[in-house]
Amino acid sequence: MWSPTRRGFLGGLVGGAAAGIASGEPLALAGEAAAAEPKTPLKCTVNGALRETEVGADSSALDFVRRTCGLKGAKLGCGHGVCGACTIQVNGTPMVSCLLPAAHLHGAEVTTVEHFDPLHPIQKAFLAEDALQCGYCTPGFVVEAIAFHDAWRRDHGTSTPPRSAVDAALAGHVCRCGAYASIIAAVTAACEGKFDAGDFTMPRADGLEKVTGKAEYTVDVQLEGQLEGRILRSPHGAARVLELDLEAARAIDGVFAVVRLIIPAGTVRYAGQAIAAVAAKDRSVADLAMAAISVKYEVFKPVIGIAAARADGARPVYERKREKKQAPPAGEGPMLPTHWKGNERGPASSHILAKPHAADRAVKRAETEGWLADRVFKTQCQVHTPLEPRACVASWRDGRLEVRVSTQAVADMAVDICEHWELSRDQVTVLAPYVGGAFGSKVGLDMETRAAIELTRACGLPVRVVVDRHEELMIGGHRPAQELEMQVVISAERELDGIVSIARSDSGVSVGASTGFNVRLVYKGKERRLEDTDCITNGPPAKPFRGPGGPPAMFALEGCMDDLAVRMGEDSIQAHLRWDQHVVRRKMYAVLAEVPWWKDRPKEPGTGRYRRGVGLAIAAWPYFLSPGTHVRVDAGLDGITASAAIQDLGTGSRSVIANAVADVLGVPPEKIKVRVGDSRDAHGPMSAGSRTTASVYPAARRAAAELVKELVESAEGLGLVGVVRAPGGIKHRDGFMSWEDLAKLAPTTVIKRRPRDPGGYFLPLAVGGIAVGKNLAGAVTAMEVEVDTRLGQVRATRAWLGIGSGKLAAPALARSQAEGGVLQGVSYALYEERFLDPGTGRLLTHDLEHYRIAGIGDCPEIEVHFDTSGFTEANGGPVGLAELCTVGVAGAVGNAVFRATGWRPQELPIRPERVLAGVRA
Amino acid sequence: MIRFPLTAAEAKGEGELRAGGTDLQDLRHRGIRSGPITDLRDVQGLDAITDDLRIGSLVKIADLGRDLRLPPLIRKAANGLATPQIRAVATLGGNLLQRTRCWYFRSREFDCFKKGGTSCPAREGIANRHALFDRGPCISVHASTLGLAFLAYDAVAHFEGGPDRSIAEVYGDGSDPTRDHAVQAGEVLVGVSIRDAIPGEKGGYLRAIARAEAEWPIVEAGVRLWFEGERIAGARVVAGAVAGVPLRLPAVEQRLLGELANEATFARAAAVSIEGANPVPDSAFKVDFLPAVILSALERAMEA
Ligand SMILES: Cc1cc2nc3c(=O)[nH]c(=O)nc-3n(C[C@H](O)[C@H](O)[C@H](O)COP(=O)(O)OP(=O)(O)OC[C@H]3O[C@@H](n4cnc5c(N)ncnc54)[C@H](O)[C@@H]3O)c2cc1C
Ligand code: FES
Ligand code: FES
Repeated sequence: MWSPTRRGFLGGLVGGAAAGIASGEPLALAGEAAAAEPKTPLKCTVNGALRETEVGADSSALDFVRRTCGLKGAKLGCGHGVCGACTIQVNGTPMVSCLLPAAHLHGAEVTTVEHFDPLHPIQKAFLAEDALQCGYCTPGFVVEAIAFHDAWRRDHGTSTPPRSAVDAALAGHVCRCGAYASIIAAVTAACEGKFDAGDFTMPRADGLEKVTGKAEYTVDVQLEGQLEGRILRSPHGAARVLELDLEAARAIDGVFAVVRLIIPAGTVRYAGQAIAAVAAKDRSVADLAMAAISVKYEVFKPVIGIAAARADGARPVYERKREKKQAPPAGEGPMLPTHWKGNERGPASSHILAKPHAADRAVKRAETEGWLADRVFKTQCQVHTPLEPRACVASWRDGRLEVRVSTQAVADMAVDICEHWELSRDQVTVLAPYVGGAFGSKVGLDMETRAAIELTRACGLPVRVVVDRHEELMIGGHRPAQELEMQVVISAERELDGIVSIARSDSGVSVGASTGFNVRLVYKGKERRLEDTDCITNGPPAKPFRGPGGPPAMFALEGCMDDLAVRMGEDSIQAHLRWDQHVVRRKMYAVLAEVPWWKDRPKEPGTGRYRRGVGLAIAAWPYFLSPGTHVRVDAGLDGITASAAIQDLGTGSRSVIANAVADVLGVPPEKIKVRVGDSRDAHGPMSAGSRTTASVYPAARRAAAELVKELVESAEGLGLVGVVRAPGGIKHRDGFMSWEDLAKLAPTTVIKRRPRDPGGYFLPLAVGGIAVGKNLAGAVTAMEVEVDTRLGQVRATRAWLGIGSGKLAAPALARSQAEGGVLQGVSYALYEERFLDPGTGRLLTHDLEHYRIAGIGDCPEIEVHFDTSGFTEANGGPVGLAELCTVGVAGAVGNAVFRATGWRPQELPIRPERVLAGVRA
Repeated sequence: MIRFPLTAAEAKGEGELRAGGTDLQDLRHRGIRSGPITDLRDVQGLDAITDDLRIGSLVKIADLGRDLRLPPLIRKAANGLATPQIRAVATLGGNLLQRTRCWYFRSREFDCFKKGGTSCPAREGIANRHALFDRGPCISVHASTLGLAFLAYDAVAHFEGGPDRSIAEVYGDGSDPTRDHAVQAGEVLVGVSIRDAIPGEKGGYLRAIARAEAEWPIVEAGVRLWFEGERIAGARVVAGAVAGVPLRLPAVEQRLLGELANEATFARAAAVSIEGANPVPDSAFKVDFLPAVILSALERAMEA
């Protein structure tokens, strides 16, 4: 049976990371709060069927449809009325069901996404336009858009709704993946009647499940006997747990397990750090148990922010050397070695193949000749906050552990779990069929998973732990805040002479944030001084976030480049062509130069109230892949199924596999069933570092090719004569036989490893299962903004993204991904910012009202230009683009604001108050 | 405990009133409010708008936005707040009497005056969404958009079994840090009457926000203008998100009276809106926004 871990529960000192809020008392979770005692009768119809039941005073309409009716399409996103994931129709009107009391449904007709069968034109349009990625927000959008569509058609026929009408109707919805551009296209086309009848395409392999609400995410899992788990978190940013008494909580009726999570020493380094966890029969009992846990803290003043970390006499966040070593990593790459001084770790330098002293000399030379840009930039802390929060359902039964978890690494997670609890591989299964977004935050074995496993281990029943939005925003992961001193030197000959980048990051208790790495990836020349210092604070740990380090680095560097181009009187494309040798980007500049709104861009800052400007920034990202990736294809009575232990976060890996196999077999992709999100399948990579597509696509093609070979041989073995391969099957003397029919007669299974890139890799060996391709992937981003100089609002009106993608494994999905990256970049540049209370370290932006994410009205028109060449050595295959598409956006927005107003933003987000202060100065 | 009274009279007394629940349930889910609920769901007759502009407290915000009998400022303010799915649920009464959105108040991790505490943590902490007119000791700003719109009408609030009160009286002067309004627990707001709407008056509403839609304002303002010939015969100017209560700005109104409605007039009038401003430091930037928002609201009024 289960052997309790001898290594103790926590791997790292802060438990490798995650953990959130709450005083000795629990934080309640909106929407799915358990029914409180007093019940009131409720009679209503749900999707046409009469329902009679009793509901609690505080239970929400969402709780009723999800738990009482078992309709899991409507989702809990925020719980406070902002995100719209919970939208249902009540008497035909869309409403937020998380705040609507269930009792108010009395006598009403309730309609949820499950009602729409056959598909509504809006759902078809969402499928055809690929107006979704992870799909977690999709049911809410669909239910709202259907109401809008039906009203529009009634009043306006098939005329085209203006963008403003669509935006206004969908203003109460948030899509963290940033699918707005396609959502607008889908709603518009459906209103025009384009999906009333007839065929439509479905580029996304799991789109149908997502638009109908059938996709089962971790938060939707309901196992027999499942308990509700909750994590008690420290309300103090810096403290020591002196006493922790779990007995009173254990004694409560309906409580099945209470476990300690904090390390024996009891050190608390950030508000939200996990202290203990409970599992109870339902949410309200779990909350009671949380309240019954008594914790005595010795509380210290926390170190919050870069300045506090560097202040004389600042309390050290880590005291002992051993503790420092176990500080969790903020990034995903290997950590550069360096030293600690107080709360500062560093500087670490990215000087491999660089000449820092030459850069210093260049700066010195610039005193007398050439040009120097010398500016300090500040960027904020951005949280990932995927719409599906961290969630895990763990179940320990008959010596086997089954872990359903919202993760971007099913295979690695299984390995980590085995190691951590000393289990064998065949004892552990990790499942993640649908993941509601991640963006880098869900790569590790984090606290919700640890807690769920510890709890199920303690009581033998399945335990679900789902964090609420407050916890997610607190401990879910973030991009570190940074201060960047950037110097760029251009010689008298107008050549790039040197770059100095001195960065300080606030990544909370985590270490290893890097900007220098990103600066190293662009422009010719080795004259670089690239230094990164972590300022350790009592904030929650950072996690890798889409292009870690990239957006701040490019905001600063490209801000300087733009500054130089302006001062030198050079056109920005000309200037970039002069300094940038990247083959693909050089082609992109030529394409961009012909884009009409680039050509017509204003050449001087405006003077009126509204000022338009267009800015440019570049991006680079390594081409990563996992050489050990395998794909399996089973062909038999059930048709053709391809599988790998990877996951689809909305990134489209299901479609990538389906398309690869279908292409080789010469059949339509719908013919290929794909299974992902199961750790038992053939080994696949985690979805991080943009490597899933580049790893899986070639492996899937190779497996498919092998299948073809074996099926052809089988055909011959079956006595067919004159067998030759043909699209979709084989030809033989007496006719044609499809692969499927052939497989029924001769079931075949193949597993193939990803072929090696013919040109080899940058480093001869894969490090940590990752190989680095020889080419760097590149992108060019141009943004158009409109600045309202009276009210300070910056609107991103247009975006152009030229991106070197290699072959497109799933073109429609690649476009969605790229558009989402642009949108997230805009959101980062203009709106998002996390705040911690300086006195306590507690989170202030604890909901999606205070933590602001771009909505549909903020989405620019986005054009994506894919350059499919340039990666011949990548097996002619695709390279990842998830990070590349977002890295340059903030830089381009900043430069566009400068071009519009003559004021250069050096601080993100570019909020209205900063704009007014800047423009008026 | 929860009860569902059938009349407003029965609703009086024990239990926190629940109308649409969009504010109350948020606070209850967060653990900031608790205790018995008196749910107004079954109370009849409070969801109508009459021809003489008496508006029942249970009228939905979405319905306020569509009723063409209502003056423009009311409609624009109603359509300009929150999101469609909130406006479909939330009521007039709940909007007027909602609690502040201050991030210290909405987090159960902090104590504050409004939660029985003895200090305002925002004063020591981060207060960049807070008061431009600091009337202490609490520096949160009032949340109600409809509050400022109705203040511009000197609207009359009707309470079950009690005397009518003006909207200004409903809010008080904002000096009591424990409250968002002066309505006592157990009192039931049954409706609000607009008595001094002027035929042909112009109205404008505007908020400064970072995003395009659905964001709580940095500063919001509403204006009403009516004319004699070309000259402004009357004006009401109100602002939100600047103080603990919606604020009427008589000094701005004064500058408009008797003037021609042009940019120069508007700019001169808007400029005096910040007289007496004593912002908390983090929110000092709002001095740039209040005149700008008022100027824009005045222009909006003329567009309509
Ligand atoms: C995403 C989002 C954005 C928002 N943006 C805005 C905005 O821009 N501007 C704005 O003004 N609001 C905004 N709101 C707040 C929203 O308008 C309020 O939550 C809503 O108006 C409250 O109405 P309700 O009927 O749901 O009130 P409830 O939640 O039912 O009640 C609110 C309070 O009023 C009391 N109450 C209700 N009815 C009565 C009555 N008849 N007599 C006495 N007391 C009563 C209740 O006891 C409670 O304390 C937003 C809300 C959300 C979720
Ligand atoms: S869950 Fe209801 S609006 Fe976000
Ligand atoms: S697709 Fe909208 S949140 Fe992921």
